[in-house]
Amino acid sequence: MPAIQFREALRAAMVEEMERDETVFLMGEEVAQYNGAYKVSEGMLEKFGPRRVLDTPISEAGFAGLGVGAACCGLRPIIEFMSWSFTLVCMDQIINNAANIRYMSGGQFKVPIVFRGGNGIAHQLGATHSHRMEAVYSRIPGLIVVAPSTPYEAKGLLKTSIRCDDPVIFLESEKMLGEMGEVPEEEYLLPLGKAKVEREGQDVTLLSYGRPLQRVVRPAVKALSNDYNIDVELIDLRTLRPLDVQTIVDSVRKTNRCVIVDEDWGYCGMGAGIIQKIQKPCFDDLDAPIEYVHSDEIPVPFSHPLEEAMMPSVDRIIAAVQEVCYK
Amino acid sequence: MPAEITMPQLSDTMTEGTLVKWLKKEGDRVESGDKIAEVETDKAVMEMESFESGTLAAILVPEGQKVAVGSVMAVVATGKDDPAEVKQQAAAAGPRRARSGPPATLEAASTGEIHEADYVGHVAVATGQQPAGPPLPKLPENVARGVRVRISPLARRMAAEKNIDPRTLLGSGPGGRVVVQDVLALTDTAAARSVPLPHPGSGQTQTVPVTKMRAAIGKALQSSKQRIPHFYETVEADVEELSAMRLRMNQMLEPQNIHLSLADFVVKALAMTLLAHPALNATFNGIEVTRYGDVHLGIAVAVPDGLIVPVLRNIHLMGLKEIRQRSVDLAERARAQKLRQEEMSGATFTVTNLGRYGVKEFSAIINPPEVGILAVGAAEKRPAVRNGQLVARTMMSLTLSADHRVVDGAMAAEFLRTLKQFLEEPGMMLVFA
Amino acid sequence: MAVADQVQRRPPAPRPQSDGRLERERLRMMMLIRRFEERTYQEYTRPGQKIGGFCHLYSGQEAIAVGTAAIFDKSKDYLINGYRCHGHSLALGMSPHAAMAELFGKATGCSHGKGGSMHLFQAEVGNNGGHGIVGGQIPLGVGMAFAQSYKKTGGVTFCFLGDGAVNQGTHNESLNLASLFKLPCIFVVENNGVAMGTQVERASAEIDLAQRGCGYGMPHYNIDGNDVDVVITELGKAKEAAARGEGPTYIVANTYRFRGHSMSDPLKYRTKEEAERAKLRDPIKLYQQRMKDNGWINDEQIEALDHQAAQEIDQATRQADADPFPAPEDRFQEILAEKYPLEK
Repeated sequence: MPAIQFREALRAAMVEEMERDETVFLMGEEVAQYNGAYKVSEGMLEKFGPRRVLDTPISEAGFAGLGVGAACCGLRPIIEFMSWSFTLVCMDQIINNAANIRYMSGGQFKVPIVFRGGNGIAHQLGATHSHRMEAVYSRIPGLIVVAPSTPYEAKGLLKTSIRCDDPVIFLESEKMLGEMGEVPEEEYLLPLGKAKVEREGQDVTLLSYGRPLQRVVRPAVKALSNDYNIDVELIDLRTLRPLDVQTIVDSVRKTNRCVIVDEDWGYCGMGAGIIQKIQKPCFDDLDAPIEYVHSDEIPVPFSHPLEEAMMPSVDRIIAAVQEVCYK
Repeated sequence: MPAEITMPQLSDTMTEGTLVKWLKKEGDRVESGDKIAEVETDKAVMEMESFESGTLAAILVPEGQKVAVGSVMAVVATGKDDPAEVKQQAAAAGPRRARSGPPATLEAASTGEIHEADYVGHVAVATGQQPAGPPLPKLPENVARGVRVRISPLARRMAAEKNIDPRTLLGSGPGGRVVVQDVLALTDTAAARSVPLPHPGSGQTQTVPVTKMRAAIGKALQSSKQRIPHFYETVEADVEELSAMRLRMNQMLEPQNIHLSLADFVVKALAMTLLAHPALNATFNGIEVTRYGDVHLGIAVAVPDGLIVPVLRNIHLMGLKEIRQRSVDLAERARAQKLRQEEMSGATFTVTNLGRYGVKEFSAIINPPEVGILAVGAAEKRPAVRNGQLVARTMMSLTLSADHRVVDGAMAAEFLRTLKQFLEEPGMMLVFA
Repeated sequence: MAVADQVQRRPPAPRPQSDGRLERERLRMMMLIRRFEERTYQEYTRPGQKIGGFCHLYSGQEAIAVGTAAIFDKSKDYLINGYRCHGHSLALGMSPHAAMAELFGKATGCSHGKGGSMHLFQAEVGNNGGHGIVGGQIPLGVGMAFAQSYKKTGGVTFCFLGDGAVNQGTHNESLNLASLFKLPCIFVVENNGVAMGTQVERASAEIDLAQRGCGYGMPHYNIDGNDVDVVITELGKAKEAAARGEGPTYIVANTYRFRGHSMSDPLKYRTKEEAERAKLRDPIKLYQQRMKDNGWINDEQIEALDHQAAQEIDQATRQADADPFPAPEDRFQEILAEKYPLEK
């Protein structure tokens, strides 16, 4: 299997689906002539032309809503946000319109749209550009929320998302786009709403997704295994809504311990919502409270050392795992 | 008016009990005093009486369920109550705290949380209600107060599956939380005994955790030894005659399948001695001494990883046959954890016997609030001087531990002299019996 | 003073040659809408509250919805709207029963009781909904026009908004996008002079709302929204331009709202005199007069039409009232289109 970049995997998914389905188009800021602010859509304008790869003005509410309207009328838009932080100015279009139109119309419409872009803390972007929006959107009935952690997941999950008849919030990370990973040459799809047990283990269940999974969780799992003799079962959640509760519960029932890692704020954060979903079905199987390793509850600072310090680290994860393992 | 049947508080430290078995079923007629259910506390099974006459209208708690003290378990329709109506109302209300009754000691009865006493105490100490025996001094408040067991949900579930009372577990988690490894360690203890120790010379070690029962015994005995000024006196009794008599009697009793042990004679002699020396047949609460006209003798029984002291009540009224049968029965049920609460409480004196292990003599720790304990060693042939001749006689060493706050050396010596006399001249017992 | 009285930049359109059949149908629809809204008012205020929540009546603005319907091609055009959507829905053919049942929250409502007064949808005729958030629907309308353009269906989208929505950010973004992409989108601002309780002159620095459509490279002008023939003519021209690929048009249809913003509006912000004057320009009265002048109808026939409308609304209301509420378990239906885990 060839190793490709995360951004290439995303691009491959979009290209394949646009070749497959005429109704799929890509729209967003700098996606066409500039070849993508982060070069995800590089070459796509040339390949598909300006009808299907469209630059927009800086009007998130305008083009997000445009996408929703188009999706209601038979198209399958891929709307790229340069950053999920920018969706703070167009939430009405996503939450009120994309998520609700089907319900409010008594099922008369479906809204097959993918909103995608970089989510979370990238690098020194400051408080306004570093929002982790997963908990915001994962709360919303009517939305599907996906967060890939490798190029392989990115391609397979994005292809399914584009084919999905419901609105999908697809959370990438600017910091992951250059990461390499093996991706099969033949076509494949990955299911939505299904978590992946990435590593089987006996001692503790570790839940994560997206960038923190790659940045700190995998290194922590390696250290726990090598240096602490703790056998971690690692689950890549992949889809945050609908959450694959069954896979998580099955694992926690086996290990009797659970640690969740994300880069959200803790209070009402993504992990807090996951805890709410699993604590009851797992209650009699838990030998320790579920631990939640999250970012500090502060605005995201600009300065590099401060930004690093606020986020979950390998050390924080190891400490949390030791705590629930009573080791 | 319908009468509620609630989980009784069978000891000061009891916060909940298990409804083992219903002896009546819904619709049965019950009379006041009828036994209606068996209830198990941590170490005892008790039969529970109905205080009302009427029809058992509703059973609210299934067999095997843990019930907080004071919670309603059943309702009796009395007088003109319609049992069907009472059942309907009771079913609608479900298991709950009684409208009136014993004050709640359980903070969260309905949630099924398990509570514990923070002081389990030596078994003979941890007693409360006494149906027939003398009243014991009130337990310190901290002993009576229930404290919540901190236990992880998994450990709680596993303990229940393994039939382990969580209160007997020593928590190793944060803040003393009982975690699953504590449950596993306890159940592994038995296994650990059979597991061979690390290979000699291998340098390996084996760690065996302390159970809660073990810790409680330790705490109680440490407290006794530290607070009570013990003193010890030992006599050697010549039981040659007694032994010969026992053999002859056992031959005669063989058709009745009765086999008396030397310990039975010692217990009988001890009971007689205690009647003659009420200063030792007593309890002391630090303020006043209570002396008893009856003898309730605690007999220490070794159980796996601990010690239980069942009580033979009114032993002074028993013949040897009854002593034999009763003590065998109590010891067996103690090992099977089948003792009822009143069978473990209210002793006026305790005896402990290590004779069968070949121990020549030893001294025991007093079981407060009692004021003395007798340690019985092995009966064995020892050299003795009789009529100026060195002869082999069957001898037995008896060591009395006494509380010097209320017993003096001479009192103890007189007690031992009487005991020695009864053992050396068993016929003397007939004089006073 | 409502802008409707002040701004009259376009002359009334010349009257078409006709036998009056279509006109009678338009009048009937305007009267049906009026009767529907008045009945809605009664039902809303009747003790027992059959209609809950927000409810915005269209009385006085009927000419705009009916005029639009006259040129609307249900096979390919779309209409999208704010929350004052009863009139447009009826004009596009929604049965009064489906509309009233939705207001009552009944299972037989057009949105199965999940939308309510502000969210009447009828997808099969191109009625893409009433939308509850002021200005929230404008980008959607642009997207619907985008789909028409992308798929080259030849259809156009009528994107309705009120005078309050012009002050929302989406108004700016949507007009710009529609014009930039040359989309077949006709923005129709129904200017009834008041955004909730705030008159246009207190909300918009430019009181000529047609000027709020300038700066986007598209035609923008006022029309008399009380004259159904004017609406037909002017929207018709805009539609033809859009269909020719000339892009969007911005039309401010000036009108007057007879009732309050919503049911709880005490109408303290306007004088009795203003309301009386506005009633002189009641679109239904104006149209009836014109038809009588043309000999297409007489008073007796008008009376009969009104009676017929009242009967129809009464029957629809009674039926809606008798209909069942959705089953409680239905609340979990129609949220997602797919089953999860989803494998494609």
